[in-house]
Amino acid sequence: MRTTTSNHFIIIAIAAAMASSVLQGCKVQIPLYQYDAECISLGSSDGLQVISISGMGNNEDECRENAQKNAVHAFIFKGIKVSQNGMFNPCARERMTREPMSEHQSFWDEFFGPSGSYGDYITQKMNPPYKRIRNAEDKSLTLFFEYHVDIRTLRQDLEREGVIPSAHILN
Amino acid sequence: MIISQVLSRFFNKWLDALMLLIGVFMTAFCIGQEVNKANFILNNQLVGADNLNSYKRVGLTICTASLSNEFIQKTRGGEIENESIYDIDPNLFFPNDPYQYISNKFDINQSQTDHLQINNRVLNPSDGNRTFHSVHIIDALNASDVSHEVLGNLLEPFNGTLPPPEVAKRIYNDATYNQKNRYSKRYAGLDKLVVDSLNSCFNNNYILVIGVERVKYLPEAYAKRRRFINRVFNLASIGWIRMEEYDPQRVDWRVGVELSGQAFLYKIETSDATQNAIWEAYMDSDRSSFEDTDLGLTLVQQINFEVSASASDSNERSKRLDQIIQADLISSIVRRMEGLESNFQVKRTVVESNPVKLEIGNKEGLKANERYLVYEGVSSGPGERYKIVGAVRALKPTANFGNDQGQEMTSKFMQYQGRDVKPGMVVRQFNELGIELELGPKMNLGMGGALPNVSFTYDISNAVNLPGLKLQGSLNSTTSSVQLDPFIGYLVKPDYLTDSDMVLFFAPRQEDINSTWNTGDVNITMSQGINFPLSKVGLVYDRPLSRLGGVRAKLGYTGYDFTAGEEGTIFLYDSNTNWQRNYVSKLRARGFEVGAEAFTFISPSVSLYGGLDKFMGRYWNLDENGIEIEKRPGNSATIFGTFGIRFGF
Repeated sequence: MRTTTSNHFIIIAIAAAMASSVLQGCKVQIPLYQYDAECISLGSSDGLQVISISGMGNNEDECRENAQKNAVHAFIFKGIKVSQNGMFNPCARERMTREPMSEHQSFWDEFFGPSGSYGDYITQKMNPPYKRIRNAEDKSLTLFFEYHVDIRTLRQDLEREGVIPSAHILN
Repeated sequence: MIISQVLSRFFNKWLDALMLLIGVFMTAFCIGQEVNKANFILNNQLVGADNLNSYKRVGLTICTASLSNEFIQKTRGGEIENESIYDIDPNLFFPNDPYQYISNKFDINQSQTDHLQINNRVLNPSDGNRTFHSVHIIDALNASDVSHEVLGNLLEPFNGTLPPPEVAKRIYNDATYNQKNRYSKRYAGLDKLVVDSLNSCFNNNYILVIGVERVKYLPEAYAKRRRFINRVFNLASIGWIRMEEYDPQRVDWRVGVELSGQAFLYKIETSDATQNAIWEAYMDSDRSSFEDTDLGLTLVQQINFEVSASASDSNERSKRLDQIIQADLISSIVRRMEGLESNFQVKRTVVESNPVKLEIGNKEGLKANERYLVYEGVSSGPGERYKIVGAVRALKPTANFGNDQGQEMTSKFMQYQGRDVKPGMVVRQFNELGIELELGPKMNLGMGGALPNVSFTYDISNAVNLPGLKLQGSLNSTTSSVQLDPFIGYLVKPDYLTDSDMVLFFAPRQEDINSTWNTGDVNITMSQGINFPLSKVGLVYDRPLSRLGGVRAKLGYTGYDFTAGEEGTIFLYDSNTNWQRNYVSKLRARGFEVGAEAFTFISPSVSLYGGLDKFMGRYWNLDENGIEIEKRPGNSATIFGTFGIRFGF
């Protein structure tokens, strides 16, 4: 009898593990730093810039987290090239550094990591998404947010860390 | 075991089983009801993104036209008088300020040309083709130069300042609080909101031409409505009483008026040259280029209409018919155009869920109980498409005209269809006719058994300005000719019986035929072949509680008839004397019903109803003295469960 019970436990455990594995398998691997960034306007105070940024994920929280990473990533590595206003683009079009992430890989891994400080430069982080797109094939989600990014503080901190060149050197 | 007993109790007949099968069969095709209906309409096609992301306020100008050389017919004392439609003052039917009957969502472009003069020979009613060619309307609009007049109004006052007052008003009304909040921040240069709004001001203008072909001052207009009412009440009473013939001699000619014709919706097309001319007019205070610019008109929608007004009761008699018909004419045509023209439909992004909140309010013409479909973006291949995922209804529209007062003005919506609504989804106004049709078996939970049930509900909340109020009629019927044997329980307690007496009237189940039941002091012998139509008509007040369902109060007029079939009768025996007291061949009851119902929005719809009837019955008794008709008051209590498919239109 005891053997039978323990067998049941084993079967249940195996089933649970399989179910967990299947559920994990349903999650889509989200590519990092693939986003659309558009300038909306300057913010209400100096150094704040308002952009539209997309974030992919399997759920809303993951999309929000990725969108915040993408917002900061866009200013550092890409610049905001496109404006919702068409030709007029008051946002920072130039990236902060021309070096790839691999140059300071460990720093960026920590900066954009789970306890990274990328979120410190974004205000109104809990803004609701203004657009929601679901991928018809893999069912992953893409949310679009409007974020206010404090690029002045961001630049100062990154310059202090020595991972981006000073603004006057870059320009 | 219990379930099987319950099932055998309720579905022990092939009819019940068949009804259940029909219900399941229909469910398979109709899951999702309205949402899927919309999907079916769209042939499961996804909606293009342009239709949902580009809502801007619309400028609307209303013109009227007389399209026919027909005559107005008046009947006075049986004599018909003809009068040319051109002899009628258009203001009689078209108010000086028609916009009071229109939703706040439109920005009104006032035009001096409110009535178009159209050649009355262009439509020949004898050629059998009632379609009026819109080219004649365009000619008339161009002759009056309405397009330049409309856009020119946006330039006033003409002092070169930006933006002009009319445009500023449009921008103000167009923006949501979030947009204002975003753009009121420090910002250098022209921002997107201003640019978009300026463009939309000149690109989003429509001219609605209401063309009347025929005006009738005829009693038929009145009679038509009266006949409809008679039909409804006859259906309710199930008396199958022959309708009284309408007596035209009793009707004054002024009690009815009917307008019919066609309405045309044109969009003023602006080109790059027009845009340049407009900016030139602004900057250089020179309107010559603008005045010389060709403004195209595109016919975007065309509908036929027919509206009537009648003084059928004392309240309406106190109003002028033209006032009644003005409101009907303008509001009904604009509402129909809303359903046809995508740019007239309000669209917004969901900003909050649980509960669903949208930046839509009185400014957008939102009314309580108004329906919006919810869409989610889908990326599949190139471009984005939108898929319907649910439906919501407005609970209480917010007064958002002053939405720059530092707070976000949102209206609460209740979701009643589909899956979870999430922020970032988009909603689109989707007008409905307010008609619901429900089909399926109706089961008496007190006594068991099932009846075929058809109910029809019409939303009258807009007419009475009380969200949730509907008119409902239902019919449960069977006839002996098709050998249906429904089992409906009605606890009837005629006054002539003592308190301990109970009489049960019900159509028998097969196994109850020719059996005798002892219900206290009264024995009932059942017999075969009983007709039992039960019908109700009345007001229902819906109160949705969640997306799953809601509660509904009912107050109605009810009627039902028990009549013996060809071979059967109902026998009532008084057990005290063991002597036949009544030989009832027919019972007809009419009364009032008060009840409450819990219902679901899911498909198939399920509801549970409990109600009380207070009625007056008429018994046709046959005894040794012949036929005697008695009137007896009675009460009944019932509890029904319905299971069926609800179609909403």
